[in-house]
Amino acid sequence: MSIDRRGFLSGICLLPAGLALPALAAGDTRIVSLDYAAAETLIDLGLPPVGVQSSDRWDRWVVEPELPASVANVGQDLVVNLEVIASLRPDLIITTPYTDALRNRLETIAPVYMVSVYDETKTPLKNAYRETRELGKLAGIPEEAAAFLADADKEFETLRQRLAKKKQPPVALVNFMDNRHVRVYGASALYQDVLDRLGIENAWTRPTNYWGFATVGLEELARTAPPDMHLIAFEPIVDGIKPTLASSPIWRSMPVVQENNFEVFPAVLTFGMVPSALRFARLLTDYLEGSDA
Amino acid sequence: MSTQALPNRAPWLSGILLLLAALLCWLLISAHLPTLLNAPAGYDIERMIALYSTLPRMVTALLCGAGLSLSGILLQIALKNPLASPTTLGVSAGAHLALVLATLFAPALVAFSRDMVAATGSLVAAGIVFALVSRRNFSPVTLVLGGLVVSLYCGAAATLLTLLNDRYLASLFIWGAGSLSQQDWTIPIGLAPKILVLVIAAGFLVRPLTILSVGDDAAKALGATPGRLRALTVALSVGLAAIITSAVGVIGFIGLAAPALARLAGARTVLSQIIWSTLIGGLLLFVTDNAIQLLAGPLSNFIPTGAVTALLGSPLLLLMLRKTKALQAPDARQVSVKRWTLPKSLTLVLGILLPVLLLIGSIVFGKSALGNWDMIFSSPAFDLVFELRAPRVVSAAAAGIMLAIAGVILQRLSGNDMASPEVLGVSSGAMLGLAFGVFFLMPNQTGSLVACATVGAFAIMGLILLMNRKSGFQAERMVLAGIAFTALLDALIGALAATGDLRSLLLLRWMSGSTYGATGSSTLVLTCLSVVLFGLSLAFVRWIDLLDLGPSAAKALGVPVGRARGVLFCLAGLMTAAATLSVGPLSFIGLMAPHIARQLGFSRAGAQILVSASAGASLMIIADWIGRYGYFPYEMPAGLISALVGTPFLMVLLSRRTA
Repeated sequence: MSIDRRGFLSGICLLPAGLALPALAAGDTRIVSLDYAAAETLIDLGLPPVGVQSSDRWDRWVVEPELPASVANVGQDLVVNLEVIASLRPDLIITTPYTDALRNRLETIAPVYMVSVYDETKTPLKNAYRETRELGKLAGIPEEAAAFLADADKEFETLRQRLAKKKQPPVALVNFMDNRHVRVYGASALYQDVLDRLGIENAWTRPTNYWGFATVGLEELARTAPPDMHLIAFEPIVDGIKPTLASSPIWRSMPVVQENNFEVFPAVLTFGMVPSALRFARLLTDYLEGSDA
Repeated sequence: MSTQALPNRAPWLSGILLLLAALLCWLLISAHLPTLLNAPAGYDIERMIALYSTLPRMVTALLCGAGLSLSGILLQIALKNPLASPTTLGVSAGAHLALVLATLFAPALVAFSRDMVAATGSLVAAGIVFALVSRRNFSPVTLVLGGLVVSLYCGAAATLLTLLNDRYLASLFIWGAGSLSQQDWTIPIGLAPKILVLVIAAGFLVRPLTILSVGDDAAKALGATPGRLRALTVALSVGLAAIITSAVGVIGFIGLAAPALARLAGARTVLSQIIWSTLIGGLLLFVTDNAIQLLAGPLSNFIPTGAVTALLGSPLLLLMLRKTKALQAPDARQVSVKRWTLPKSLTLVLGILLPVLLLIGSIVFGKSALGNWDMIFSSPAFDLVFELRAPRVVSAAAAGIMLAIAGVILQRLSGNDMASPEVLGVSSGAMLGLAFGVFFLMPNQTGSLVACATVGAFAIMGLILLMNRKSGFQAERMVLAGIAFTALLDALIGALAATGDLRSLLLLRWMSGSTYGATGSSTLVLTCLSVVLFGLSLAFVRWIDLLDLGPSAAKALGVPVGRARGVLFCLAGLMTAAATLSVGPLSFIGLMAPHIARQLGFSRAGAQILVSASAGASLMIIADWIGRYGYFPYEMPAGLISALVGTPFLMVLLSRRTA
């Protein structure tokens, strides 16, 4: 690990965080990530992984930061291609509680570290900070991680101040499951923590599951949500849902649709870490500033 | 048919259901009635929901229930089979699979006509079932076994596609489990005229079907053509089921339950059976669906009605199967077998050489990290890759051998071509154990999950053995008990998956079956087991051959019939459990390999076991290899691939025989 690179990195981290860092050559540590969240963090720390699960679907689920073309696809997260991982000769493999069942197999290839953002503490953003520091340590770039997190704090604060200039409406954050059901995010979701930091109210205050969402019918949402809420759906939305919604009387008569308070955001990694949290915060701030509610 | 012995109480039954339906209906919408009648000013979400969600859902339930039951009763009359229905013949599952396939690979087709896609899938599924059982004169139980196997297969293939696309297909999941939830009137208004047209068409069939019910010869004498009439009726039923599946997904077992209830209530003539089945079916689904909504409250949108009807319906199937046991036509091996032209000795040599060559080849040839074809020797991590690859290939072979032999034993003992380890219930037991482990114990380690699966497999096998101890392990009953468990489990998993719980994905992955989990030590255990059990099964060949002659003849020749059956079932169960743990519950190797051996001309137990084992091993090795590289770097489950590889082969063999 050269001092020069570190200096360069801490310098560049003074720029707004999340700005895609120039693609450095893969550092000394060869990391395979079985999780998009850890991968996006490593990319923002300047040390992209050598392999990531389902890399061909990155642009559908994560979008930002961009995945370097050199990153190999190691297959699907629960049944990753062990032969490919072995051939990549990694120094470190990153799992999540979701994929940690593979630990025994993976440990025959390289040491395994489990990134745990969703747990009993139900504070995913705080956990994401902790895990980012841990990743920085493991990858041999602890200072870069610290600088990245400091910048993230700064940016959250800037965004919060921008939003505090006027009273903001509550927002409901959903993924469409089909044309009649949505996943709505609430307590113990990453989005909830971001809303808290930005001082925005969540329209969905009812119980959610371990991962911070509840699957509900649209009418359930309409029945329980405050009338002045803004409804934000994330891409990807399966083909065919938008036209069906357009013809649904229940949907069209919902106040949120009638008053044009429905917006579709580009994809944000729902179960992401700090980079996704920032991406969501930026998108939300831009949207709320542009709306005149 | 002698009719007037019993009074027809079907009108009474319908009346009771109607009252129940009216009561539920009142409970659900009475509160909104005032606002429904005169629209209030402004926005009223409760009114919108009553008008555009609750009411259309009720109409949809009535329409679908009636349509599926009409489809069921028509199938039952045409096939003279009280067990026939869209669910038990694989028609609904075929429609579902076709829609999943089209959604993924040819969305334009779905946009053009969902119904056409669904109907094509239904027809293909029905065609396969009929082709599989046509040599058995459509014996009721065989037809249903064939249908349920095709159902399982279609469900499995749909699962595979879901796994390969995970989150993207989540919506198909809710749909696949049959959700009646509505957002407007599009679906009921679209369905009503289509169903009406088919109901009218069915009306024209009543008279000819009545003549047919007298008997084929009498019908011929009266100038009817039974074959054509049957084909027409079946086509109509399949169409009905397809249209409904394309609109709301798979609603299991209504088409079986309603006609059964109508007959039980005393509907005898063709006309009264058709009328009352249809009415009862509509009301039955209506009552079920509304009861779900009332009981589940806010969750109701989200508990798929189709999964609930399947949960309620599969025990009913078990009851009905036991009653129709007597109808089962015994023995079918009298059909002359078309001999293969290869000399047997050569076939036997090939039978040994082929799996060995495949085994070596499938270890040597693979792909590099970048996706280029290469030989294992040129890999940068040769030792690691070999350690990962070889156990999988060997496990595949061992599992293939064990499933194939289990299939031979089960088919021989039950005298049923459609018997296979999949329908023995052992595989389902393993999956049940896994489900328990994943949902209640939440173990993160593969090892403890395997333990759960093993306990589950043996618990179910013990239960089935215990249930059948008194009857002397009668094969037919064992298979029936197994298949009822399988259907029940399918419904359970469907319901779990629809809740969107991430753990259900984990379970699905296990269910789809792959050699992914094979390690050096697990492979060693599996290989030893397969060798020992292979040897044991060869030691029991004489019993198998003699049992084939029938229980009395076997007894006369000195076979302790009950004990022999018990031992052989244990053997088959052990092999199934061991194989299931390594390649998952659904591979169809156990169904296909014995057929392949028999079609090749090996009908004595010993030869059939040897050739089946070779075929099973070869198929499984090929399937595993395709699973590893067909969609590189993604893994496809070998268990499902083997079904895809083997089915066409099996069909070709079957068609040779019937030709």
